[in-house]
Amino acid sequence: MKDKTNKSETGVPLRHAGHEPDPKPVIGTVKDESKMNEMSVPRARRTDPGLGSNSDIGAKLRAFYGAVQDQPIPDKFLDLLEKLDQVEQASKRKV
Amino acid sequence: MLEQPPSFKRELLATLPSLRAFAVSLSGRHDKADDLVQDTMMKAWAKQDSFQMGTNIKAWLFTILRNEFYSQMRKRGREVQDTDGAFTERMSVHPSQYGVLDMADFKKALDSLPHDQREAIVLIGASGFSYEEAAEICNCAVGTMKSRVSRARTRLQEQLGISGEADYGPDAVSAQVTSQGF
Repeated sequence: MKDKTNKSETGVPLRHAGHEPDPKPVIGTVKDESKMNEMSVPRARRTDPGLGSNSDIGAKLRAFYGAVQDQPIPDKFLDLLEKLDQVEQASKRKV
Repeated sequence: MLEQPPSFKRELLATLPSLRAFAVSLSGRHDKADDLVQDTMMKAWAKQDSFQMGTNIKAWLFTILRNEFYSQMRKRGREVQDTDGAFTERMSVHPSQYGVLDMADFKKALDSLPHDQREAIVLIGASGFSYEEAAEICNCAVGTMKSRVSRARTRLQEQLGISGEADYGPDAVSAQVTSQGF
């Protein structure tokens, strides 16, 4: 087991680890990378802990809520709103 | 002269779907929720002069509905809440990406939360309110709201056997980023 680990560590992966400084740094690439890091951190902080898009609880909660929210408004609500409106218009006309 | 009533009506209408979802979340039942929404509509209509157009009508209506819910609860005394079969029925008409059974489990877990925690996690996690707005609706401090949401989340995770990020993997990179916020 140790042998396997050593082999893989001394093998190809080390070259990709990227700890050695590039003698001729491509400035554009470095700048872009640092920008990406700066942007990703505040975005993560803005996400509400545990209720963001990656939270299973948050997703289930929104699915549950959305299932009710997406239902058409029942006629009785629309009728009630019409009645309230009519009563108000009628009382205004009287005055 | 006529401008205020029609636009109040329109705004009330626009908020109804979300208001109804909040009512279902609070009461745990569709029939009671619809009664609650109806009572809220009448109260809001009667009080519309006290509402300033251009301010947050959604928060205003949610506050009325919540007050109505708790005052009705006090009048009736504590009732045993049973989950309604109507929910599962309706869910099968409107299937989400999650299975119907899965969602029924979730609703059961949500219903088992104490009222203060349930409303907190719904207002923040689904209704789209900020902590400040939710605290105002529930008449509590912002810090209290935050701790209620956090306790609600923990309880739901325990009940549903979800450990956190490990259970899903639509986007491993952002999951990693999000977990840094903990």
